[in-house]
Amino acid sequence: MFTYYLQLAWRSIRRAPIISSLMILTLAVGVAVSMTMLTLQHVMSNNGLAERNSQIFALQLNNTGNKTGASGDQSQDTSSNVMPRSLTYRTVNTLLDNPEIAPHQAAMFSMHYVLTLPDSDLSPAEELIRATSRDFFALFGVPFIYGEVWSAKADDELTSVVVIDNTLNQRLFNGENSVGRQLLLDDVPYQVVGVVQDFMPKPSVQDLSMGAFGGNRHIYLPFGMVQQPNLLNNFKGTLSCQFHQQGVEFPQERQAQRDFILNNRCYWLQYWVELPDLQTRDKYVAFLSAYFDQQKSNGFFTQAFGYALSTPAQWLQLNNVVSNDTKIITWLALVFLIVCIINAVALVLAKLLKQAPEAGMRRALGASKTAIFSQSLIETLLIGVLGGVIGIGLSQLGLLLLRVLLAKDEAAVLHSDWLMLAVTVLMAVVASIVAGLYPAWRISYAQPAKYLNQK
Amino acid sequence: MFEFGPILRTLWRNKIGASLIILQSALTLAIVANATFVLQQRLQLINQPTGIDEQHLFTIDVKPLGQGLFSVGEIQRDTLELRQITGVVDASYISDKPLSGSYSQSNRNAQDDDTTFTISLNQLTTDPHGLHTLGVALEQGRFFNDSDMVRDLKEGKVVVISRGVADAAFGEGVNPIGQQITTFGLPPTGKHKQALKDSQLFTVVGVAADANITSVASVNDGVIFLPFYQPDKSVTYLIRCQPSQCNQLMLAVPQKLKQLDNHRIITGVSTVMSNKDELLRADHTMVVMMMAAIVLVSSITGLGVIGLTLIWVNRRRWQIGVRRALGATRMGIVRYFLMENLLVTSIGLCFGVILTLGLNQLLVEYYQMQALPLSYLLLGMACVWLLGLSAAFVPALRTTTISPAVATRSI
Repeated sequence: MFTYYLQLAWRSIRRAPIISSLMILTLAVGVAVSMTMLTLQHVMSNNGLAERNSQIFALQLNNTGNKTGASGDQSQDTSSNVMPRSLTYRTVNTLLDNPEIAPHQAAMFSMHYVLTLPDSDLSPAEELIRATSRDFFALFGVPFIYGEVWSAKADDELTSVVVIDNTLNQRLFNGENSVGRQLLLDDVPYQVVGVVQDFMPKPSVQDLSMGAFGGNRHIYLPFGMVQQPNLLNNFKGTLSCQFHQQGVEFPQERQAQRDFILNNRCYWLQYWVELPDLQTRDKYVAFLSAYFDQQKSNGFFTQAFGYALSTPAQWLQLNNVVSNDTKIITWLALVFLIVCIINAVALVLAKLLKQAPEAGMRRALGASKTAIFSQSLIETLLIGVLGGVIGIGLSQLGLLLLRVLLAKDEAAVLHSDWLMLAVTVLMAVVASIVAGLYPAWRISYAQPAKYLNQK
Repeated sequence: MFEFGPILRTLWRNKIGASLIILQSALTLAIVANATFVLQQRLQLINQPTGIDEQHLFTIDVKPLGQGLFSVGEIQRDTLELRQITGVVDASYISDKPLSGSYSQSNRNAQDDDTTFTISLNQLTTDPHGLHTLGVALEQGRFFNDSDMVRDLKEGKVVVISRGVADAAFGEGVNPIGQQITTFGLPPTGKHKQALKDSQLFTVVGVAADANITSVASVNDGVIFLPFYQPDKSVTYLIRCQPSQCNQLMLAVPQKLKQLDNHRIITGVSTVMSNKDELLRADHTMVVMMMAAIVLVSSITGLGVIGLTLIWVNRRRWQIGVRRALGATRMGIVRYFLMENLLVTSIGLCFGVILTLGLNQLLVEYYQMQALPLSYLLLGMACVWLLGLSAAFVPALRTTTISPAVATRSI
């Protein structure tokens, strides 16, 4: 029966080629446009840390927005919950000094160095480097291939050790066990103590301070790098300081600048903490609150205590990785899809009503309402499937166009996966059912007598 | 004359079909009006003049190998040599790449007796050729000379500020030349004179024209130029080239720098225009997307109206024939269909106004968009009207071929 109806549907489509192709095209374009935009949202909100989503949290402290007006805060680098994206050194240092409050904590920032190898003709290149505390690898679940993480001491004082990832190990040392080998950063030798698997989530949820894709690194240095006197020569990222007292000036000399940054309310560090259960979380927050109050009493913080602990998924949202522009276009695309569906309903209705006499005749010859209804619906379903298939093609075209328009990093990850292709067809089918339901119901109620009478 | 009665009655008998077109034109208006508004805003931002010679500028980043910092001698030698290359208009040392979105900004509030004084500016350190290389005019006084340049800002004596900073710091109409100012743009007047006694004060020697140097849209009062070779790991040179010489110079300059000293690497060469495009990428994308939205929704709605009118015309062949037989002119029939379309679209536009404002309200609330001005709403309405009419025109013309004889046949 189904195949017979399908045959009938095909014949009916061929009988009215212009109207039918208009319907197919309408659905295809509507579905393609919305799928293109949904795919962009889908890849941009991809959470590379989804497995650890309920356990790890990015911390923000509510110490911005000074109402007394002694310092400007328009320049504050805040996320959409109006808290600074990053933390001060004092906060991070206090937290790291108390390892008992959480199983793992990772503080981090970025540095840039010229990377070379001793006695090698490797051409020098500038590398961005992650400086972080040793828990980074355990917290984000980055396994070691060779060697192990640096000692706890290296997080406190300057130590020339380095961990590299698999990709860089292949490039520099042909993938051998390179533990104990040396590499040069700005001509200073650093000893490789470990090689880890590549950790390249896209977007780089662990560090969104340099754009949605700007936080992945191949080289890791211990957090003790903050002790480097000329820290700011190699620091890379956003640094924002607030000072209240009149007459306090940001120093111009590099070493004085570093001291200033470590001692004042300067926001520049990213920080994640692992809190496996509510109990740990409560204890952690209690510690945080006590610390905040203490710092408030000595004037370091000015506002009432407030904090945010965000899961990786929430962190992506807070940092507007899916930009407002993308959201606006997606909404417009969905409204456009509705326009297309309405258009299709109108066309299907008009087309089916033209076939009403035929339906009336079939009813008179004994066809049930259900039969007429399902036959009409199958016809629009066929149109929907055809629209979906063409829609897949068109949405690929749309993605191609988007890739030209987007930044390189974004373009590189913009691909539709099977899920998205399936959703495209499903969307077209649902759209066609929505479009065909009313017309099919309407025609199945065609009065046989009326049409017999007319003939 | 306009046959409103018969049209309304016909539409009433085809409620669903008519209301679908009404809804469709309403949604079309919502998309077209909002998209045009966003489009216009972004175009304005993109086409806003920056005031620098952006077409003929490029930057080059140089980093020494090893641990040393750049010496003043190196910078002076490099810039001097670069200026000798044919095709180079001027070259200078600069702390931040123009229009790259990377800059150092300071926002200061200071309390005077009872008024709060706010100044927000970008600090840009450069050498005596900086202003000319950027292509920004000097409005008053002088720019730096070689003896102004220092390695340590504490030894610095003079600064040049942009007109906006001068107005914000000293008030409009006050001659800023010779006045004192901190690097954060605060003048030592009133109460904060006391507070500023530890801060270093500089003498303003020149005022530059306002220009958006660091970012595309001006978000602050302006720029303060500091005559200062920042001791740093890497250095950026800004090169202004003669028309159509940039491409060739972008190859020649790195070569020259390598030739002068090979113990360093070039970490980047980029035109200011490419930086600007990167900064405005989201806006360019938005422009294309909004245009696509307008074109697509207009085509779909247009095609839909054509298709539907075609069907309506076909279904009413007999009716048309009868009317023609009873004396209606061809133009009368065409007018009937156009009037019908106009009526349906107009009803749609009434709902459309509500939908448009509703959609705009959502965008304002959740995505920081601005409220839609009335002019865009009216423009959108005119567009949808015209779209409906022109789409209905072709099928309506087909009625002229229906002969009155049709009336004599049954269906």
